[in-house]
Amino acid sequence: MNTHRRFALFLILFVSMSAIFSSVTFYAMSPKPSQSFIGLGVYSQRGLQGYNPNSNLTVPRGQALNWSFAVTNRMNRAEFVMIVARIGNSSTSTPNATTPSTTLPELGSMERFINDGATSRINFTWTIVSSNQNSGLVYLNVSINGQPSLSSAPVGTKPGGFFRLIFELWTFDPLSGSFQYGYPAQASQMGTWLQVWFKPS
Amino acid sequence: MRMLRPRSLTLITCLLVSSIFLITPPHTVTAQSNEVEAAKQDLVQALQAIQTAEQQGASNSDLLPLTIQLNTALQYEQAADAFDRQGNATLAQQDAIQSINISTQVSYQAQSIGNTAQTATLYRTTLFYVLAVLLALLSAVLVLETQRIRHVLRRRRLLRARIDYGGNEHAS
Repeated sequence: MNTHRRFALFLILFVSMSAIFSSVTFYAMSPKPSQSFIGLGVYSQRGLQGYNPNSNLTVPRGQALNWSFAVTNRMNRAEFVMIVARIGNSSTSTPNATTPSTTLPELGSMERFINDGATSRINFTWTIVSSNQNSGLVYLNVSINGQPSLSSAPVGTKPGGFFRLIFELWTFDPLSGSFQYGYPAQASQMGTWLQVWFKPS
Repeated sequence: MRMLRPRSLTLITCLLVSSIFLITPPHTVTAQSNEVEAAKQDLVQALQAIQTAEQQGASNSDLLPLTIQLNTALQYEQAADAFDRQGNATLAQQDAIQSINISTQVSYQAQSIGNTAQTATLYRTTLFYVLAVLLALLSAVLVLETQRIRHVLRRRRLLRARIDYGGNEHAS
């Protein structure tokens, strides 16, 4: 009788302890919760010292500007990203958290595979090749990464006015087999974009 | 009517021959475009293989070289696409094949790394849970046998203790 009671007590203790230690093991082995995101930044060759804020910048025609994008992937998986460069002026619409500026002319795009937890630098060299004036508006011909130049038309400004380069982050969605604006967040896509104002001289 | 028959036959023959060309475009263009298209698909497949390996528990450091290789494949694919648009079929084909080769290698390596990682994860998980059960067993025994262990320890302490008969005290 005493042995039976001891065995029952042992079983209760063993099951309880197993539950406790298994729970601890499960907690220790479970991946820690983290918020997924992709960070996008644009830098000049001088690194952070030459960071281009959202401010005025004068760009001479014919001068190549060597910039780079820093894309940080914290999505817990490798990502195929694309940065689309567009040109706009002060009156054109900008992208937002859900919609890209597809109405603005696209100057070019850059694609890259980025490992999880890695920050990739993507070179971006651009030049204002020429400009032309039509009906009182200045239009630019811009070349990106040595590609043939593309016109900013229909986007133009009054002489002395400001343009802006808009950079949108797109990620590849394997399910649809196409690039989607932004990156997949918990509920929907999270749009990511940057802009740099400049004045051609 | 008899005079028209050979002409109409010739016309029908010409139409048939031209329709064959319309249905099937020249072989070289189709093959070349297919290779560029295949290079794009292989890039996506390689990316999916890397993502699967990540889900299987492969570490970022193991997969980083594969991502670097995949970017090289992407460069070849982009070059192939550019040559394709310029109409340079030979160079487009060369670059597309190069891209396909790298993407295929990346896919195989990702699968291999993923499988290894999955086995290691399974082994580690099993080991930790076995340790947890062993600890539970040990704890249960310790709790249950506390009295007996204390008794044994007390007995040992007593056995090791020096016996002082107090003879010196009487002498002084």
